[in-house]
Amino acid sequence: MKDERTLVEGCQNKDRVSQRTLYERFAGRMFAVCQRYTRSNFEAEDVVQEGFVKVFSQIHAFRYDCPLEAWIKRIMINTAISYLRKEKAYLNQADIEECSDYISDAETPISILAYQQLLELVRELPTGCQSVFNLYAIEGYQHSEIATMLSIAEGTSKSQYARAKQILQAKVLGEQKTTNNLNR
Amino acid sequence: MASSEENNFEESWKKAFENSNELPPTSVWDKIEARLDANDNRIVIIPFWQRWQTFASIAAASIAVLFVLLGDVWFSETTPVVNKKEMINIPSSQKLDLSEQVIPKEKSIISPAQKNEKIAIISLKKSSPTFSDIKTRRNESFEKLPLSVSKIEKNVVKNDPNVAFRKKKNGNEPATNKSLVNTPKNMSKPFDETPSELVEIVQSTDDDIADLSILSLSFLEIKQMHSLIGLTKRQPWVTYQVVSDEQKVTQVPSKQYWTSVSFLPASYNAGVIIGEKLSTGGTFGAAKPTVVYNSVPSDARANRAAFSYALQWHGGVQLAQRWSLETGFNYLQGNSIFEATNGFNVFTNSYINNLEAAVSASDNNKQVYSLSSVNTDKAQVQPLSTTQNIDNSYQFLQIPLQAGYALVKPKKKFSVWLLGGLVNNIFLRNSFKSGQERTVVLNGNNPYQRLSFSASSGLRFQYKMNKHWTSQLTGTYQLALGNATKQTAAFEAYPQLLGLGAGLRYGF
Repeated sequence: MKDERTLVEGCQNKDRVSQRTLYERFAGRMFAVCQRYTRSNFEAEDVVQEGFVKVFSQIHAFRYDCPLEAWIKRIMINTAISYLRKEKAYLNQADIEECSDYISDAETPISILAYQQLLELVRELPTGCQSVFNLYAIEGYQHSEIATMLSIAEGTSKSQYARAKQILQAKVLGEQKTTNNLNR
Repeated sequence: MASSEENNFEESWKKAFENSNELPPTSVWDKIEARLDANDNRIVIIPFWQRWQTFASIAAASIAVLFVLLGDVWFSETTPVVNKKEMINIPSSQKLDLSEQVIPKEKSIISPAQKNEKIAIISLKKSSPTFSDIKTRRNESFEKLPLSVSKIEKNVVKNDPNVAFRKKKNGNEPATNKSLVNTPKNMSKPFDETPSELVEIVQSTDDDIADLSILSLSFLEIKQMHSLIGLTKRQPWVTYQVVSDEQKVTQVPSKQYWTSVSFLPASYNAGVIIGEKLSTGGTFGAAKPTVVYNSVPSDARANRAAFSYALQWHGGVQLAQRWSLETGFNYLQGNSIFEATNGFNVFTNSYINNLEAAVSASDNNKQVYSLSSVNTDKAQVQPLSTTQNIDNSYQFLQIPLQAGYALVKPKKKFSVWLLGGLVNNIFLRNSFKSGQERTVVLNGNNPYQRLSFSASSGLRFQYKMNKHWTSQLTGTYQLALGNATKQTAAFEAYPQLLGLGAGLRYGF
């Protein structure tokens, strides 16, 4: 297996074999990332395609100062956000006052659910909530950073996350009840 | 909610998606590969036309740019440029002084590697790689080129203290970025070439450094911009460009191009003079004054100006702070009134006037009216003691070429320009009333020259409304440079125009 530096250098030289190798190495994980930010696999495929084209066109700028996977993932997330921005998914987002009352203190046992079920729950979130949830809970960005990335107010980011959390908790509990009933 | 619970929520979701992996369909790679192939074969075209909405605008802008560029080329060819051989022509004694002052002879050591680097610079200069050329060469590594360029720069500056000397001597620093090209104080390994060779090297390397510095600056900008994508710090939407103070200071204001449309209400005087040629032995020298030419030859006083107008479309370039050059197209509808003397054509039993007769008699020397029996009872045309005012109208396509000088510098919103230049008048059409109140139209075979010239002068007041748009008010006076009719014509015309036009100008 080619090491990372050799792979990057090959891609910088536009070696198609290296590009294919890099794609195959990271496509699965990147597709999973894109699935979380989009509503369907078709959209996720579009984002992955656009993201990898960006990766190969910008690979000369990679400086080895972070893991290659993190660098590619960052491009994928940015591409996904750009995609959603084009779709005007961030319009009409509610601010924190509207949603702050819905925050639940209940602990959510998501371990009982399979990956695909969780993915579907995330995808069913409203688009703004979905992105904020992914960026805050999964990627670990701060609300101020998310606000900059999505061109929204920081308060809106917080409210969207609170709303996403409330929706997910409710849905997970619902799924849990359904599972328990089936087991009985 | 307790923070531990909050963290549990996020941690559990993060853990659930942490190592998720799902392969996309194989068609995704096929599409990516197709995109990569397309990108490799793509020719970059600057889509400047995207800013224009209609084809008419594109055509108009293209013509404007063409004229402006022609004017620019003409101007640049007539503008003295810096003589690059100036340094080479320094007397030999001065060259010796140069080498002795700056480079002690005993320290003149140059390694073969350094010589190779200088050769590399010169060859790089000859091949003149532009940034766009390099950018499109995707097969080459972006990493290597800027590094090697900056390395060469450093070595040249290190090994060539004459660059610094020449900067001081000419007071004309090349566009190098000091932050990129650092000259250590202790680096003074001079050449061992003869003084003349040394001067040539100074000349060539100095220019090369300017070019290469621009090149490496561009690469640095690219590096800074692209490196953001790979930053570990989470600020992916923040981009920046570092513009040093030195760069800001050394920025030279570029030429500003503009196009304008305006409407020019004007008074136009055709300046028709009938009979001058007759009395001075011109085309019909044998003849004497008749009604055809009027018993008393008409002069400019027989003409009166009438309301006219011109539609103007100009393009221009501001060459310097005070100087501009412009050209374009004017459609001129020139209306004037001619006080004609009436006559009666006994052969055709019809009334005529001297303007009609003069025009008819000017048809390529083919006389319509017999002049053999003028002022006799048997004359073909008998004069009448009446006059009539004839509407005498012209249409011209004008192509002005004029220079402008700013009386009030265009530093702020308001500026005043003095204009002067030449106008090419392309004759399109002339019409007037005959003695029978018929309208005579002349456009093809006519006594007027197809191309005549006028001198133009004017005063323009400009008010800059915003970055691109400027309103302008222009007073214009045009005076014919010579007779506007053909040599064979039986009359002459010296048209004049005085107008005050208003328009809008768009700066690019």
